[in-house]
Amino acid sequence: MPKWFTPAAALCGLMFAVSPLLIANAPFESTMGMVQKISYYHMPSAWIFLIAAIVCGVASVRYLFRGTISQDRLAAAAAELVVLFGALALVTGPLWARKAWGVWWQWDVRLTSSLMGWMVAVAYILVRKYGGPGSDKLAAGLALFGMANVPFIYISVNYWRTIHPKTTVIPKLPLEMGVPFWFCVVAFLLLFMLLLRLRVRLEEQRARVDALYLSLD
Amino acid sequence: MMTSLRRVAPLVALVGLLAGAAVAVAQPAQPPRQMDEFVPIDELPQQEQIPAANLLIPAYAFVWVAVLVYVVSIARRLNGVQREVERLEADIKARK
Repeated sequence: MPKWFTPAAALCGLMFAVSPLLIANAPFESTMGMVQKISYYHMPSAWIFLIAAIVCGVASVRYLFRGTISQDRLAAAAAELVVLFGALALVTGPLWARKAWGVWWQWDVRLTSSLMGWMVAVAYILVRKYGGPGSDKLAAGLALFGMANVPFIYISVNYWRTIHPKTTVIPKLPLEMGVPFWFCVVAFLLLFMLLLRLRVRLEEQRARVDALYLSLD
Repeated sequence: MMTSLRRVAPLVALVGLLAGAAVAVAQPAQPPRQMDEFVPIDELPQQEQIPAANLLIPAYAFVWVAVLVYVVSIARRLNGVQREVERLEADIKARK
């Protein structure tokens, strides 16, 4: 593993340990009250979900057009993180919505397109696992759909009728809410980078196993 | 003609009243408005805290547990592959 990995992992652990204290000290939101504090983990999870989908899509494009195996490994690693961070966003969101909106789920454009993006990543993993020979390229094609969905997910709340908060809540965050929020964003970004590196390492080691089996024959 | 209208009028009024009531009941509650900013407050009403905590704690717990389970899963898979690499390298050395 690279030299930066261990210090970065220690820093990430420390940031996640400190984050509940910062969140607890942040003020309550006037209309939603305490339940709005879910946003400090929900929004960074959702952002990382979108970033992971972009990483998976870009790596898949490079793999499809240049045939770079390392990009295929990166795409496979990122797809698993799309599923992880997407699950975090899709579970914490309804827990927040239950109190803020009175319902667990709304089939509005933001929630539906997010669920679709998550399902595309699940499909990517299933195709790679059970698709047989050539499934890596088929999965790469799926990843393109996942990436194309990202801007749609992000801007949807500003253009379609929905009760999901707009993207403007972030730049308008007051300082006392903004500090814990951006702290959590950095912690989640660091976690994503660490998990991505670990997952790519797993793919590299699997490739090494395949190469060793071939050399045995 | 007028007699029959007089007879029907209360019935029409009743049907109209019932239909109006049914429409009013069928109307969904006013949905919350879409937010474009979060406004902070200093104090939270005491009765608000308990129901919100029932959702807040599972949300944070889910994030922590899911990340922990995923990290353990990657560590286990990495260890398994690492052991296989070492075994195969030993086999190749033994053949030479």
